[in-house]
Amino acid sequence: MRTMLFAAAAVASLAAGCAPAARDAAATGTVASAVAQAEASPAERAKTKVLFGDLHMHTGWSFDAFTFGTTATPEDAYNFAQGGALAHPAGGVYRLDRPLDFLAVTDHSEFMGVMIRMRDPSSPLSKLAIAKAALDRDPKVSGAAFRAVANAFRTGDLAVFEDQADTARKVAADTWGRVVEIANRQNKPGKFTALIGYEWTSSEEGKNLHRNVIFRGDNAPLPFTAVDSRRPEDLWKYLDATRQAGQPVLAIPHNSNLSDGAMFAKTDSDGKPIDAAYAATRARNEPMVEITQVKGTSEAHPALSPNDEFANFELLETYVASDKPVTKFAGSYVRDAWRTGLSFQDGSGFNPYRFGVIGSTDSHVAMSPVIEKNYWGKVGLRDGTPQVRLDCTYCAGGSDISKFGSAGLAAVWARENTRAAIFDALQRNETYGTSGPRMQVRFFGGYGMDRVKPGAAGWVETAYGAGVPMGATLPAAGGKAPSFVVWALKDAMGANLDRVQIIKLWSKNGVSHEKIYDVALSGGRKVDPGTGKAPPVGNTVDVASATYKNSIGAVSLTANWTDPEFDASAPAAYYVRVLEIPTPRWSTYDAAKLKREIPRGLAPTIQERAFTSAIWYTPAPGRRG
Amino acid sequence: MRRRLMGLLRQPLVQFVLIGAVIFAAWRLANPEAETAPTEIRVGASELKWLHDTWVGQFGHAPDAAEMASAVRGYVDEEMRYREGLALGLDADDTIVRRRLAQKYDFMLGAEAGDLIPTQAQLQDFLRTHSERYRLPAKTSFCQVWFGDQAAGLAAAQAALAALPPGMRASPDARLAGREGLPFARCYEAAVPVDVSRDFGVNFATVVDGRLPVGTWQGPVESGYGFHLVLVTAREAGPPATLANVRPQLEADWRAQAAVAAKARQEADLRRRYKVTVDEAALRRLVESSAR
Repeated sequence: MRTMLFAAAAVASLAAGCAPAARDAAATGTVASAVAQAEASPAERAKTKVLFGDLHMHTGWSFDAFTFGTTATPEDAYNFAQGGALAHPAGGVYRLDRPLDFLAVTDHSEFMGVMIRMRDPSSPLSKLAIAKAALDRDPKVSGAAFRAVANAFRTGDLAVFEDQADTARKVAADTWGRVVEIANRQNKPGKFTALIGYEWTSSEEGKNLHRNVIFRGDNAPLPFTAVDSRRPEDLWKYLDATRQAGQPVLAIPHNSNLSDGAMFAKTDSDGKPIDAAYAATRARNEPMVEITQVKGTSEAHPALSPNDEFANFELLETYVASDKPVTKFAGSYVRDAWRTGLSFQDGSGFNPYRFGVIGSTDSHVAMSPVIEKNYWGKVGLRDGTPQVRLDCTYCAGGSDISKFGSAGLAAVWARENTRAAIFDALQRNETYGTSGPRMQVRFFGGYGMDRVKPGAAGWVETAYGAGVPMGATLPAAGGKAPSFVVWALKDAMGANLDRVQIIKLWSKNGVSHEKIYDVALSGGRKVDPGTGKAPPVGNTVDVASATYKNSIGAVSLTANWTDPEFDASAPAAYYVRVLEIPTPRWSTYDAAKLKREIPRGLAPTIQERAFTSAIWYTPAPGRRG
Repeated sequence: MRRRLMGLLRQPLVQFVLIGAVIFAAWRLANPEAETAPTEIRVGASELKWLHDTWVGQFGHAPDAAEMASAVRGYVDEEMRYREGLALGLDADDTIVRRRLAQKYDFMLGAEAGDLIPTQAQLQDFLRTHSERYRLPAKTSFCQVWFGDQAAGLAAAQAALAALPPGMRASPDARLAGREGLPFARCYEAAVPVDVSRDFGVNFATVVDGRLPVGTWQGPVESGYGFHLVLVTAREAGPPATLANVRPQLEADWRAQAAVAAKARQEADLRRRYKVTVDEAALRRLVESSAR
């Protein structure tokens, strides 16, 4: 009997009610536009502070989360993010060590709030045959309900709701109203930002195409669902229309690693080659990608980047909620997509994959599991205790839960903690993702950055004045090689830093390349000119007790770097990766807690990290400067 | 004899039967011609209104004719099966029915507590008894200088403190040869603990907001980045909350507490009214046999 989670990436969808008329009616209300960061003075722009948050969070109102035992509401999720305590469905009460600065609850839009209504004996939904299984505390039984519903959504056959499909649609519409109302009530400008959002849950034959939709304002039309359409092009039409109606909105794809190459393909949904119009539409609607989360990191894969000794980090290589292996890595990872985009730029003059990055969790228990030492899993009863995680009690036929990571966070550089400031930072890609820790990373490029001293008084203002921050485009400067400045500071409550790397991607004659530069190393280490590699930082982890010491590594690392092999005719992208010293993986903490061996195949230690949005160089004048 | 009768009247079952008889008699008086046969189901105005209101509560809109018809059909179906089930005695000793009725009883009591509206005086009193819980966070004004981590950072901080001229020991402007590189201000005005720990980590915040003496440079204090010297210039305990600034939280907590108290009262009351006898010998035998 195969029992598993997300049975089907098939999650394809459900069908929330989406009468066009209602959508239009809701699409009112404009958002006051803040002074654009890009147009402000360097002194003003230097007031940016880093804010940490989670843009991918499910509650009991997601159909799958409810079958994992989660009954927490969006209200609970926002309270938890602000430092409140919350009970876990598998037992225990958890609290973050520090509050988050922002959160978007992104429940699946498909039949949002419907499954949990089956709990209410006065609802006709509670009388459905499926309700009994959905309410069962045994994950093997509720898993059957989950699969039945997910399969129904995938095929569009809603027989699982018997004669109550309309009830389900109405409940979903009603739920959305409450989601918006709760986010508005929880939003506290200057202190904590609650963004309105949801997840569009499309997949084709198990290939994950999921996107989170995030709104800038305090009003949002009824969600688009995968029952409306499973084609991203149709989602973009909805997003364009919403924006034109005065409601700024963007979508953030996630788990490209589980898309089998479909997320960053070279063709559109109909298999036609991508053209300039497609690239513009995609860029307008999807300026960001989620680079890391519990279901694996999507930065780079060893098969695509054989020379990257750090590419093998928290990878998941099976389809969502399935043990079926992903067969295609090209088109599934961010670095590869950026290279593909540069090749398009090089050959055809447009770039479909010029996007920024963030991290988030995709938690299905209304709380962000971002600390290895205090990990509570992602899927409720299925991975909510050290015992079931290490035994992989509920892994059969689904994801290998022991390969899930404790990740990640979205970091944005914003002048204030408000919806507008955070949304605008996402829009201009002044963002990075981390695998959970809150290290601070600044990254600037320009043609005089070699004279900026990172960390010195006033350096941030100087850097804004002398060039562009992460996510922006460098104009060409008559063949002059660009210079960069990086500054990284460890998490105040985390591990020291091992190194800072600048990863350069470029395309020449339609062929893309990558090269990794260690630009700052802790402890006075040097890159060996023979191998091009730096010696490892060392490892202080005591596996048996799951502890480490900050006796190696650095509190802060900084660097000035000028591209030594610059080719002014080749489009290029530069991004930063910051690595922490090795620390215990969550499974190592679990094993120590239970006084057991770490299951085979799991790394005892990991190097947590940050990945920044890239700084782009375009030979012709940049289109998005 | 009279005492015996009074004792009987206090028995719940007797009370139940008597109350039932009174209600039935009153109902017969009010509905003289109610002679519905057990196999007849009447969906009258009051049932229709109930179905209508339930629908509105559930879906947020009034049912149209078709929806009303389906609601009536559902009600009739359920009523028929309900009566057949009762006739077969399916309700007796059914775990689900027992549990459901007990839940409904709890729910009824909970809903009563949830409907309570505290008076101004009750809230004021609640706030007075729990004033510590509602105290607003303390605010600390301080300056800090960072000297780096590891032994070198510690030594540098200690040396700088020792070298501080007596005249500068209380001065925010004291020249201290710390390091650059942290993106934080030298001096913080009236910072709350959550902001201090956000920048420097929880341990640093605990020391600075708590036990560090006010008025002179102190240290070294360890943060997530190494060692600092810190001058706390002012510390104000969090002001006690006033009714005005914590009212929503206070009302929710008062209500939660009222519900707990009501439930405890009810439980005590039930236990008083019931005489419970457990066959201790049988219990012991069972436990012993399963222990073997």
